[in-house]
Amino acid sequence: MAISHSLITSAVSRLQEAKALELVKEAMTRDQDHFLILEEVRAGLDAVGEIYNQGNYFLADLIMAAEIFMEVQELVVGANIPVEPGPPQVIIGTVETDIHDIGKNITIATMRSCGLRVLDLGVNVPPRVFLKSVQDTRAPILCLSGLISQSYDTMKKTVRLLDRDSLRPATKVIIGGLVNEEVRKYTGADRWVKDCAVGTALCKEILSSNSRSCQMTGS
Amino acid sequence: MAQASDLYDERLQRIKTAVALAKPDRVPCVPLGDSFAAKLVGEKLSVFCTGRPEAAYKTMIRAFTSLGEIDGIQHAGFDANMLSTIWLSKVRMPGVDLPEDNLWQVEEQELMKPEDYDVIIKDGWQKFTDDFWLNKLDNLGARVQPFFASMPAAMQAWKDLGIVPFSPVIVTIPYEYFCGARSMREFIKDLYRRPDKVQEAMDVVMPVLVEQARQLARGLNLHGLWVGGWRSASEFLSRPLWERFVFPYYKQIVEALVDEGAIPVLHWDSNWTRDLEYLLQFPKAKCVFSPDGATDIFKAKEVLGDHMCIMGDVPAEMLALATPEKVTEYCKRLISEIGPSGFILAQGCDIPPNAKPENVRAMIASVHQ
Repeated sequence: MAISHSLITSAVSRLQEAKALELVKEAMTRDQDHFLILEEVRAGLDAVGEIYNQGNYFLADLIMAAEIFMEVQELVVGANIPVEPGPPQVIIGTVETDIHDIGKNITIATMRSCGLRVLDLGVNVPPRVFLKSVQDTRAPILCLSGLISQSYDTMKKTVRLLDRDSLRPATKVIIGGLVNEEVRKYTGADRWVKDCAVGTALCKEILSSNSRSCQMTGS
Repeated sequence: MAQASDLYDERLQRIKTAVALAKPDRVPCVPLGDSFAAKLVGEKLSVFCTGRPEAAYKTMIRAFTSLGEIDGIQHAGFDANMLSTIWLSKVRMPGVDLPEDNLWQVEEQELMKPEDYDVIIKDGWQKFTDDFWLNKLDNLGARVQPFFASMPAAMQAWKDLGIVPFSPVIVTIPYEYFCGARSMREFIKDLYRRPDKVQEAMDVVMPVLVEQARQLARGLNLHGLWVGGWRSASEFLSRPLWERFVFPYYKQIVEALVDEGAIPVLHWDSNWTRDLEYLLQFPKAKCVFSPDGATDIFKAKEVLGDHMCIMGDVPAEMLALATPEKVTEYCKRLISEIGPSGFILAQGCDIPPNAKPENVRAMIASVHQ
């Protein structure tokens, strides 16, 4: 069993899609624990993330890794069944005026493959829809994506609405896409990222820091 | 006062001197800003962006002649349908699919299926795109025809003002067409799942694209052409994939254009920093590297400075949000560190619709200071 699982990890980390799926199916026919199979796949994805951080994998490799994860997930737990039940940790959407969704979708796939619970609001999302979603779910992270400079004003309006309703700092706002520090300052967001792996790592960091704060305050 | 034709010759010479890596009397400025032009003259983007090519280039002329002295303009005219021709994707239009003053945007959709690679290999690129334009892109040919027909008049109108229409036509490699038509995620999966099939199709398409590029350069007597790169950027792909599916195809098209006496303007968006050294394989002092702000332009100077003219790269974010002083400061840095030889000042990619006019004026003025 251990050999089979380490082979799964290795196949995922090498982005060998067919081999990884074959090994997963094989493990399932032997009634392997599905949770353990997914953990082995996650270990492979962690390795992919490491290789990406070292500059040896690129966006296409992340897309492929997330694809393998989704295929395994479907095999193991069936389509449309969330592996991690619970309210969303991250709400994400492309802001109003903008319909670009490649970066957003790749980011979501990467986040989900890392075990984050993500609510996707789609594209061309008005500020009030983001606000309502944060009010309803109290998600700790809101990611606003935009690839055209016209999106800056919508990002700014969304941040203002969250401020007005005192939803910050409990909800951190991360902007992504055609952004930089100048844009972050303009919009009033907490952080900015241009890279889906960095964005995923940042979300994990925020969640982990929130969890440490909760432990310290006993809440 | 100088005649327009004298001004034209002077400015063309200035640009050509920069391309040849020599030092012109001053750094030339060759911007591009279609949606920005419409906003500047108070025209709705829905009115500007399609179906009125003659009015569109006149709008661009009106805008850019009000901003200071430029040497050239990258595109002579505009129609948002043109974007569908290079990405094989549908474009959502302001006033139709989007609010009237929203920017037109390419729709990410899987219009081409994996089995279409076989169709391309069997029937050829021309037949495939004829069918694709008609059936998948809602008769695109009929919609872009007025724009193509307006090109000679648009180029002449800029020339008559002494402004060089520098790179009014866009060509690109099979990767960009396939990636647009398949959608990025599906196409990336193809590169892993059926690489040989993708390459076979690319190799069928490439001679057609090279011949089309040659004919465009010849037929319109172009000084330069955009050789576009967006989703094939180094930052998206591992080097083995990039070396196989991207670079060899750019090399073919660049060499063909240089052979025609035209200047390939490598309008490459996103980050290409990793692979800048490959550009040393392109003919020396014959091309322009035009990054959009994501590639490290200073690194580009270090790697390519003795080999290729560089154009750029005042970022969209800066033009939209910064002050004129900041823009001037950045332009001066570009002029002194990337130029003054072998450099053309421009925005990165395209001036955004919400750029502050005073920032664009500051960019243009910086070459005259």
